[in-house]
Amino acid sequence: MILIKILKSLFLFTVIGIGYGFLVTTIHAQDISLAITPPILEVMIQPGKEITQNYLISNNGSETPLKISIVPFSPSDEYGNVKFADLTNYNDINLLNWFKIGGMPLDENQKLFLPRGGNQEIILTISPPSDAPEGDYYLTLLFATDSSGIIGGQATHTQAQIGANILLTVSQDGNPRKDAQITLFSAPKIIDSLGQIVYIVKIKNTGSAFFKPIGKININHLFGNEETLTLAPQNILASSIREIPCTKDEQLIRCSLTKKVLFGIYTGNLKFQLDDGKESFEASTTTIAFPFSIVAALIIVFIITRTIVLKFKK
Amino acid sequence: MKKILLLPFILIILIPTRVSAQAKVESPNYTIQFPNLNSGAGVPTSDNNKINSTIGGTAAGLFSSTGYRVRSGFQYIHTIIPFSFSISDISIDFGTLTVGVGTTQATTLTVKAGGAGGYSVKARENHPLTNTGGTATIPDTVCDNGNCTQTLAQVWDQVTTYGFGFNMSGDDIPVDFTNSTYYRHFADASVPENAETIMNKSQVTWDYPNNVWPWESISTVTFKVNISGTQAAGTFNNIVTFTAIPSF
Repeated sequence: MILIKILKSLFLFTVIGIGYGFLVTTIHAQDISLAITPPILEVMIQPGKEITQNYLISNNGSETPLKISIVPFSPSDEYGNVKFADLTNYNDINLLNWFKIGGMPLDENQKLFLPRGGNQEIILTISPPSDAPEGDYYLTLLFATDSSGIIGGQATHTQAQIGANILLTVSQDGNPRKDAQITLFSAPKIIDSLGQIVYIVKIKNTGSAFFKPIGKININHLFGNEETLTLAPQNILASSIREIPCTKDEQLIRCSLTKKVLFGIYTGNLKFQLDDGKESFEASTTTIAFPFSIVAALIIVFIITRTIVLKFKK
Repeated sequence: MKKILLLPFILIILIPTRVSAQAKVESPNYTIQFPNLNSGAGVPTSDNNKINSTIGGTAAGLFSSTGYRVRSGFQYIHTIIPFSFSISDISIDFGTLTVGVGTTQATTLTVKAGGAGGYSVKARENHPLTNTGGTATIPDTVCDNGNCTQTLAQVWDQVTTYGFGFNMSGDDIPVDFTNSTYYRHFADASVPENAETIMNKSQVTWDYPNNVWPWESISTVTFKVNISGTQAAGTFNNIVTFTAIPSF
């Protein structure tokens, strides 16, 4: 009887133990997984003023120390990607002194520990001094994992950095000079019927501050209704060119006609304003649609038919 | 009856605890703390300050006041997906290396660019694989024809070609990684060299018909080491830093 009780207790203990183990023990590989929001911050500020912005950094990977830094960047291509720039270019204005994290100056040695599944709110303060030169400053707020503590073994260790971009305009009057130039508005000159016209839009920022183009491409056709494509209001940084896609239903899309072209002349008219709404910019391009494929098919059919007819006549 | 009494405890155990970020909008100290506007909570305004956000964008916001104008998040994409980046392994262990036998190990990179649309991932090593005392290195590979660099992949197939390099496969990778035999070496911070792009998605070039929401790009980095008979013995290691940045 006692033996049975002992066995029962052992059985229950084992079942509960295993069940508990299944419920609470989760084994993860040593991985890195970081998320940040918001991915971009756009600020126009007077010298001597101060703003704060909160970021949320999340860690879904292994517990890791994070280092926070700010690095200047410039556009690396025409698609909105970044290329880190040399901080020494800004030595004369002590650019990094304009920023504080949690009210404290940036410190390379300071580490933030985030457990797996942890979130941390980071308060970034931006306060250009009263003598800060007017102009645009493009920076990336970087969160970097630190693998230096696990060095060892015949191995390559990986570190991750995740960034959020900051587009900062320092302006006394809030009206920096904004100007643009359409460097390319193109579409195929001739297109086969039932094809699709894709418009390429490239805009150069010839002003001194970044802007977003706000506008549309209207496509007119002699035999059809006008179709309108909406330009995506993407940032074009000072002294750079950006290829601008279109947007529809909250997604970025290529600037292309939704319907296949038929026959005739399609005229695309690009018109946009800068985000200050002061000046309009326009360009147009024309595409001739002709049913080359259909005509070629008809010619081939005609030749084959004629050959067959002639053969039978003989 | 006992079962009914136990039910709340079972539910407490089984249902994971959910922590929500607190919405916060402050004035006049100009703090925007992820206002929770994605449920149509309305747009907070006051006489001196205005916050304008798109419904569906937790982090998106526009703040204006005298002397300031702040926008956060992408105004044209109404998404609550943060920008995220994952690496499947912190440590790529090559074990014991054998002369003339290439050893490979892989790790997976995952990017969810959701709210950003486009992104790039750059990579750079702190130095070539170096032994503990810093007296010997396994050099970065130059591939079979001696021409691969940190920006150009070439074939690395021969057992008599030595060094350390990487191959890539998957989404948004450079076109020069033609197949699994093509390798580059990493940009070297000790030279110094700038980090080079190894993944990139531009809004206007991706494959829209096969696009699946949320946009998630996954690639595999395969590291390879092959040592010569004259390679100094020792334990070699280095650090490769992958940097993921959303487009602006």
